[in-house]
Amino acid sequence: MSATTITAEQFADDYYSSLQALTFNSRPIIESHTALAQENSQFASAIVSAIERRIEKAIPSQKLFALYLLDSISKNIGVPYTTLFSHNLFKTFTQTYGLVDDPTRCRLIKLFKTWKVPTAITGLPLFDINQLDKIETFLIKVTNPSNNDFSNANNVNSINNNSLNNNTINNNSNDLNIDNNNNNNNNNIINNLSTQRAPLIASKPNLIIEVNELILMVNTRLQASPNDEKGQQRFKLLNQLKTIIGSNSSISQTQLDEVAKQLQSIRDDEIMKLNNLKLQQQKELLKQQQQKQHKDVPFSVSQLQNFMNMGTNGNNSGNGNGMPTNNNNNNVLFNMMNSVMANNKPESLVVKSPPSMNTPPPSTNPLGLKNIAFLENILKKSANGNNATTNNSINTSINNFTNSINNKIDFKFIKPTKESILEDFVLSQSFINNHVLTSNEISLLYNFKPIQCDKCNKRFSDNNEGTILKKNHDEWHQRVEQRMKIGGSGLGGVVNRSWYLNEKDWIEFDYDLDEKETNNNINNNNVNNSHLYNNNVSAMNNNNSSNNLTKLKDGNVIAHTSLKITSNGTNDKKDREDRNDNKIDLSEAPKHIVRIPESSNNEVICKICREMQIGIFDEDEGEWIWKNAIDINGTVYHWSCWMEAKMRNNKRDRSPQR
Amino acid sequence: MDFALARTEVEIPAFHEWRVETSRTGVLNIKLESGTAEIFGTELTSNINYTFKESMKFAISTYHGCKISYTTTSPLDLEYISEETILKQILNLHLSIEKNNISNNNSNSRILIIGPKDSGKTSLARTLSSYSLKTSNSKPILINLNPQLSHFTMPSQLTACELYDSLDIETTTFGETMSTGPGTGLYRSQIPLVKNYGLESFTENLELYKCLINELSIEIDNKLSISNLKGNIIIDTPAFNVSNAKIIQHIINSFKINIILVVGNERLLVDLRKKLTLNDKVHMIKMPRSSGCIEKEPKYQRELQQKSIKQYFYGSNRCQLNPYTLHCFTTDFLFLKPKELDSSNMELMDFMNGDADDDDNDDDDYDPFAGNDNDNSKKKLERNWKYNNMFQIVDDPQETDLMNVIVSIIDDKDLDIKKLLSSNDIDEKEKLSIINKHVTMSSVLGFCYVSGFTSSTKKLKLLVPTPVTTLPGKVLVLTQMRYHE
Repeated sequence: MSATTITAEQFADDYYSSLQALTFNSRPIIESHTALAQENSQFASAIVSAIERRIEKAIPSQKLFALYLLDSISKNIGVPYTTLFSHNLFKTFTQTYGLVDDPTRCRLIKLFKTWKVPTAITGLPLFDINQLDKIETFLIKVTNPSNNDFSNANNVNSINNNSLNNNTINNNSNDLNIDNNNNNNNNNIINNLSTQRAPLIASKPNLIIEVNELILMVNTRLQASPNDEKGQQRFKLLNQLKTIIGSNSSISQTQLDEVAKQLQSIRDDEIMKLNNLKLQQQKELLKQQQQKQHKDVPFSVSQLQNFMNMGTNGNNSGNGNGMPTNNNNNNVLFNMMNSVMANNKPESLVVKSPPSMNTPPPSTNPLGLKNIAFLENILKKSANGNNATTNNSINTSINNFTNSINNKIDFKFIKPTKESILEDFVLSQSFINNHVLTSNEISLLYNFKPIQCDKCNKRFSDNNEGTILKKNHDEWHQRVEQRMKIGGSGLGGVVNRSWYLNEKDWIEFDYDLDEKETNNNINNNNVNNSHLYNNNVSAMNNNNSSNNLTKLKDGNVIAHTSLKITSNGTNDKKDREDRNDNKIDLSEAPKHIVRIPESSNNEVICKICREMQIGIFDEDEGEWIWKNAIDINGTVYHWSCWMEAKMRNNKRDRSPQR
Repeated sequence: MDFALARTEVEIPAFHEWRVETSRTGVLNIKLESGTAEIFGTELTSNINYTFKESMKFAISTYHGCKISYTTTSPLDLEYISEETILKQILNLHLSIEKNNISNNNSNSRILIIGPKDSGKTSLARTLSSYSLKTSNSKPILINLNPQLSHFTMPSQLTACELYDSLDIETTTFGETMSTGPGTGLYRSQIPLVKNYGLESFTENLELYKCLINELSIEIDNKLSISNLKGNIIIDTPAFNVSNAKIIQHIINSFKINIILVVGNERLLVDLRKKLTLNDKVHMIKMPRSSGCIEKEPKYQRELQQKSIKQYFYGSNRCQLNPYTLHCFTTDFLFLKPKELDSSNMELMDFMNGDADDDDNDDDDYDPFAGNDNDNSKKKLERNWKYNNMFQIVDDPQETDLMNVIVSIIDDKDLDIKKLLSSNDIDEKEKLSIINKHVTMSSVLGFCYVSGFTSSTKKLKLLVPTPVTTLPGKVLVLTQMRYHE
């Protein structure tokens, strides 16, 4: 695109047609067109007319964005564009103002206010001061409820009810979160005062009114920046002046005139400062709004989900503290959030009532977003201003966003991670004394392990590990219940306390490992064998030499007690051999079988341990048998119980002292 | 009979607690109707009817508000809803500790609780333990260094217990240990490590007390070194005051304490700050005394102890046990007895001097500049204790020594007592030192109660918890505890 081959008209047409894309508030489009204008300043007047044409022709809802382009070009490039735009500025602005809806008007007013601020380079306002004054007068008239005849005099059609209009504007600025009181004050002051530029008649009462007004202005400014020392001095001086003028002593007219002049300069200064102050607020606001509107394209929930997953994944590999490293991410995320929230509010997001106290909140949220905790983390972090990498404006916008959604959305429906809940906790005296617990923090006690056993108070987490533990726990309950039914230890309902573990076993002991072994054992063996296992552990052996408490089965028999102290130090291996020699060889047990008599049914109760023995069909023999059983004079016992009882012989004193 | 009793409903607002004292004879039955509630951190569930008997004093607290209903066979001694609770501080404390753990690469905290008598140390310890179970996947280790209390066992002992399940709220011993039966059915049996102290007050034999603390810390370290999820260590203590700064320092160094909680006494916190040498990673936090703390009168304390001894042999309501009687001869065993400071024996002076020497050594030991971890563990393993000052041998014990005494059975599988005693190579002092070293390094396997002794035949009648023909250990320590059937 060389300037020599293209005429100004062609360029203007191209520029105009490319402006058709400016249908939403898009910073990239505005920026690119600003750059185009800068590169092709020889076509400045053509560009200006193209933009004015665009502002005029665009549908009302899109006019604002073209005005933003005007604004962008003027502020970033300056001459010749500012001069060129100045020619028609009043017309461009007022026409647009007349055709757009109230929120847009509000934005226009804010835009206008930025134009009145002197630019850094020239020290003058952005555009021709006359045009600006005309616009200001126009604005004051349309927004002034007392000035009813204006709507007729002006060619602005849509303004029928000025007071309504004014209200809307005020309301809007409330909505937009500006420092309301101050701002309204400012507006009034500026609107009122700046129109009273007529030279003061220096009389005492007039001067007092003037001083009062100035005091008010300084005060307003001080509220916004309380550290301003000069402002405070001025505030004091004005008050002193007021008492002097207000006193009864007579003051000569020349003195009064002098005072009036000084007051005028103070007023000018004050107005400028207040404008600056407002400008700052507006800039922030504007940025924020631009971001909000920046990409107002609706995103689907699944897209958000994808993005979030992406974010978390990147996170895991990256800094791992729950923050995307990239600002763009944040930006995009923010916009997406915005659109999702807009699409889904309020029914699906707002929890209708807090979950009842006993039922744990659902672990998945209605959106199906598992990673919202991650998002919350981001929001929380940004809100704290902890994140140095996020730039400030994003910070503010997210901050505001957090504030606004905090009112609407209750994060209860999500299960935030423990880390995110505990984010702000510090192990310090003042925190512990003063922190007020939130419901989220309290519910960590219940929701960290949300699944509660329905028989006892034990809780389990809702992940895989928790499921396994829960299963083991349920099985434990089953075992315990079974044992409670059949009574006691398997030794005739008599239960005794086991010895405590010695230090070595205690160090090695792990319930969970033990649990696994128990389960394997149960799974791998039939009922009889697991019964044998019990007996095995409880088997008592007179010749056993060391206290041995190896395998503990909670709810099963535990103590494997040894009785006799050997006189020689035996090594472990020998010890074990000795024990085995003298022990009932339990591998023998299945070999001891009793054929079930025809007359008997399939079940018999061992008279020693009182456990049920169930007959099985032995395929080799072709008969029904009880395994591990012995028939003594017509009574059937477990063979292992019988052998054990026999070995226990008479030595033991079994009289329970009750 | 239960249904004949009128059910009373109590509504407890959030952050309040219902403080109850049951009568000596009455049976209080409590059910959670709605909301969430807990007793010293142990969550209540509406699926269980909780039964409290024999002068239990406790509080049901709630963070959400709850409704409970109860029946009682005789009027409660005390019952009121209190709004002066320290629930907020406790949960803040707990969550801050959790956060601290996360910030320190998911490490564990080692918490020491210090405070005057009846300031709520034990309640705080058990609440923190229970919360740890609920908000982390690791298992906390609850350690009791107060020999007057009976965590999981009898009084006069020091215990450490890795918690697998919530603490039992219906008994004063926090839970049942392993039995041959199904247990309580509500909680897993707890597996404590029991170290024999044998005396009721830690001041009566400081050397032994400190030595046992050291041994306990070694065993905890070993246990933690093989487990992948390291739980918080929470240590309950007797009523230390500022004059016990040395022993507090000893505990801090042995267990590598990083959080010190001072309950209910600001002055103590300030004084300890001055007296203790702490590295900058150690947090000192002051916790308020709950207005619900009651003063345990000596008589009540005694009752609790007797109750826990009875429970050792006969079990609790939910888990009834059957002890056995064993007949044997005193000559089969080696009897030991912890030395007492105020005993009038010949070694008193020696002991006193020794103690004084010790204090000097302590000052060397705990030089803050030498107090790094490596040094510490080395020191631990060196075991430079005055073993002769710990237990004394009771030759040929008489009826007065034995009757109604609770006896600890020490694990002695690594020590051949008979050979040692009959050996002529070593002198008596050396023998005692070896034995004492062994006893302090070993744990207690169980207890028996001397229900009868005939001095002429030296025949001993013992109540033992489990059916045996011989006791599992040859070394018996006569504790200060007495019991009457």
